[in-house]
Amino acid sequence: MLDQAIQGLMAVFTWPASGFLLLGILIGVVFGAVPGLSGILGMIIILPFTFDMDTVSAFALLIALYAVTSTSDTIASVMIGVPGTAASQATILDGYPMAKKGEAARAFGAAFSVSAYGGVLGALILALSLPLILPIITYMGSPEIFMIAILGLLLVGVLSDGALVKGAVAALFGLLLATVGPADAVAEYRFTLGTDYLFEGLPLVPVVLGLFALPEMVDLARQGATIAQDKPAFTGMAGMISGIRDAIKNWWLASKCAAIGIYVGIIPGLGAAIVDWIAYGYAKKTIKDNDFGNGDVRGVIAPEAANNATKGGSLLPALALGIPGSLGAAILLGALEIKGLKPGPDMLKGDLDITFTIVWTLVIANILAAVFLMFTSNQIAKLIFVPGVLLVPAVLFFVMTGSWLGGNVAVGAWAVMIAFGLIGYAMRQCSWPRPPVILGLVLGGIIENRLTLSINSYGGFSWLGNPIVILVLLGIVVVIASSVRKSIRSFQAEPASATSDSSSAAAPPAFADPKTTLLLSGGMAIMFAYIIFRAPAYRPEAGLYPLTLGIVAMILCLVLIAGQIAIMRKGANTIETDTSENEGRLSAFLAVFGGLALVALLSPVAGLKITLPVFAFLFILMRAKRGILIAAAYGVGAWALLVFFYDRIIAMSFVEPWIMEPLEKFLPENFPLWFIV
Amino acid sequence: MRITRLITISAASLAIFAAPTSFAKEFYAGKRIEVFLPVPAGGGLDRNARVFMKTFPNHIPGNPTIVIKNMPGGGGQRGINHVFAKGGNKGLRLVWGPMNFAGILAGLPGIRYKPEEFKPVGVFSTPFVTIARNDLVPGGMKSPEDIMKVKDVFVNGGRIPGGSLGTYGILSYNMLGLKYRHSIGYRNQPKLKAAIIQKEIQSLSTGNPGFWVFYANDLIKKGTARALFYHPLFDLRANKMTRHPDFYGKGVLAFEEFYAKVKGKPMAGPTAEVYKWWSAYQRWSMWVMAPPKTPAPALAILRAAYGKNVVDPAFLKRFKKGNRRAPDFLVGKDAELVSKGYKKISKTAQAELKKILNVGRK
Repeated sequence: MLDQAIQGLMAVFTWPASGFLLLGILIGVVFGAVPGLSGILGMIIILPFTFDMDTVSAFALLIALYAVTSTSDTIASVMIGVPGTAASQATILDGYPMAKKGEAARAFGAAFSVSAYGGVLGALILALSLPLILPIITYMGSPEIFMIAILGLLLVGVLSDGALVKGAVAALFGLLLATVGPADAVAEYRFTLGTDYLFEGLPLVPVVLGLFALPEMVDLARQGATIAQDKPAFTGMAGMISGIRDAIKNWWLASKCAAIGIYVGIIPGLGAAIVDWIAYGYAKKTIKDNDFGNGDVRGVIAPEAANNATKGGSLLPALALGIPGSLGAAILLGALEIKGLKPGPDMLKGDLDITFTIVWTLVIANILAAVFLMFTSNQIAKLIFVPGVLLVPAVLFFVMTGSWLGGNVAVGAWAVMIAFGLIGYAMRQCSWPRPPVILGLVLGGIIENRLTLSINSYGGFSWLGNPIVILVLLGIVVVIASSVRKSIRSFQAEPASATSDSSSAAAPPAFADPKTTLLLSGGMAIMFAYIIFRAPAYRPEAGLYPLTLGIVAMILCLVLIAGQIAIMRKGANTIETDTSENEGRLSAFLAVFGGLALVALLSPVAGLKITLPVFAFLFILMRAKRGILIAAAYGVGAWALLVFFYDRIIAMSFVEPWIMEPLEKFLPENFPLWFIV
Repeated sequence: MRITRLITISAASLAIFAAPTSFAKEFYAGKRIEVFLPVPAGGGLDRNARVFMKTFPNHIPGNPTIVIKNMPGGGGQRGINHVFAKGGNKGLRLVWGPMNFAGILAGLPGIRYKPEEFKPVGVFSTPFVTIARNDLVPGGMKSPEDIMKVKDVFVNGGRIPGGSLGTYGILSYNMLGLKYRHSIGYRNQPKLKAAIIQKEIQSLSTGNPGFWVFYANDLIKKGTARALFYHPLFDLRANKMTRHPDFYGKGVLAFEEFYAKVKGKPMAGPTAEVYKWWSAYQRWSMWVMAPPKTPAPALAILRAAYGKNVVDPAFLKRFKKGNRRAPDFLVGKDAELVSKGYKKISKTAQAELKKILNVGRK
């Protein structure tokens, strides 16, 4: 075995494999850093080029790309509160507040260090656990995964802080969002509003970008705003070193969260999108005296250690049993097959050297990516001191293209993103916790699917007697009991409990107008009423689950509304607001949402390659009040990115606009139309 | 199989001959063809598409760029609907994937395309296989026929409602009269494999690439499971099933043969008719379809290129790595026999199909 381990290591350092490894790291860094791109897209684009490569080079390229996206995705999460990929959603909860405090470099230092640590630990566990994987897989069936997902749902309590009812309604909202699309057991499409776009359910990326990114853009679009609201003692490299020290100081937390990442990765079907939430929730629950949600570095360390470690974990069942634990692992499995390798026992015998090549590539890529990013992101961290109005069009550009990539069709993706942007903005203004929505959306699919499979495959509920199910059930009881006890104690100590948004990525708003709060609760109630009305029209296998959730959500929502009416009657919560600040906020709101709506409406007419650059140009000229040259540079930059990167390299689908036909008639026959539309 | 090959090769030659060469040289030069896959990346269908499309442009005069786009949703319907409605009239968009003929006949919701209006470039397919755990029988199954000794209810896993693989399990077990429960919702083959390891399910059906990637080298080699029977294509011209003797292991028969062996009579009745219909039409799973308004000259070029690519040694070398055999295929007009003829099914069989697919509101 040692011989194969050494052979595998030597193979990674041979030429051209080492060159492809570096190329994979570079591509992975870019695809992780830009919201919406993701490592999966990178792998899909690269895959055909690996067909003719030698095996070691092909895997050096693919694995390096796969490994490092969860390192570089931290950049967007910290800098602008927009998750770079689905695996870094929880990082924004403390990463972005750190940036607001001027500590972006520190957040980077901590995140990159633990990412490398988690990634290496994941790779080593991968190597050591290969022969032991079968028992884990054998005992993790649908009932066990269902119970674990329910346990994960209890994180709502942690992510809601004092606003437990609001958190519960938000989580139920998320669970209901997960029911959009096809039912598992019968041929029914639910709540698709007659559009094919929702046939696969609500895509996660536009929802997350809408809920988290757009409300922050409104804040940034105000005149004079910057991301950083403070100037800390340590910035630049000093800040980065301070973050590395934080990582070393919290090595035990990083180790525990990496272990969470590895085991979530191993279990097929749980996936990277929830691992950061689980690690974050675990850290928040177990660390006393934390300031999570307000820029606590441990809130960055926990998810970042976990999301890199999960890569090694998800490769374990793929290599040892041919069962990929994630979409990325599934693509790698396909690549193995095209190379004539046989995932399964052979990877532990005849092809053990290749298996070790994969392990070493994971180790090396994680370390190199962290070092590379520590040196390069230092400059990016300085952007937190740049006026926000200059950043907004650039961020909106990536948010729009990102949601498009995540949903595949521009108009549908933008409609979803803008709708959830408005919901996210309203939730933020009304102090409703937003993370439970995402938690519900991510876990909802798993919960319904695994519950259906458990009932159908076991012919009822006999699975409730499975040993692991009982164990997890006991864990759930203990968590609920301890939360109830804690709540009672805290209520006795401080009866008027706070109702703050735990995500300071959505920092507590300047005001929480009771009328707006009531309006939001009313809107939620209408939506739940629609579900209760619509669900019985589906067959029971498809309708019963959303109907049950809808009824529970409606009851909780009515409780909330009654409470809010009572508060309004008492005349409490009267908000004294600064009129000029409100005007500034309204104008920023209109600039962001109005601008997006215009781009969305005009794109089918003029095409995205015209409307988006024009929007960037006008925003800089009129909102940022900069000169025509700077505005033009923005517009041209946006156009060049769209044409040469999004169109020519990653081949994003562009809608054929109405002007296409007249242009074809007007322009010379050989004119490359893809320059314009 | 040989007959199918002969038909397809002659069709490919005809298509090549039919392509207008002067037009062909210039039409696709410097252009980009978008191929939509109605499935997520990573599965067997996606892999086969990428392998095919790697060499496909080499056979199109002008060597255009091929761009593959995954557009999953609705069991493949979203991507196919999209190309049908918005594929345009320039010959620059194609869809690669299964036409849901059965879904159309059974009234499955969400299908907005008409296969008969699509312009088939070509289609290929490989057989499907049904496997089961050996421990279904006390002491273990010694041969595929031992499945008939199973007395208790066992669980057959399926991916999605109305899916081709799961339906083969239902059709076979219904005809054999075995007691089973069909559990749908596993969504993909990796989850099905995990479930059969965990004994959550005891049987499943898989496509040819899935058989070799997930099962042959692992569960079957270890003796945990075995291939029971395979589901070949029904050759419409020869009016009989194709055969692949011992391809999935010694003694593994085509279902039709298996049925005759254990029941002592040939398959008959509405379920058998559905099975044959399924094998003749629905089983063609990897279609390359051009949208209805594709210009005829462009279609001729694409069909000619398809005919050449499907026998290109570079393509076959890669394809065989995952599939262990070359695909059965139809090009152009021959493929239209399937895409335009799928409604040839009796009312009784159609009712049976609808019942099996469990379609319809309460």
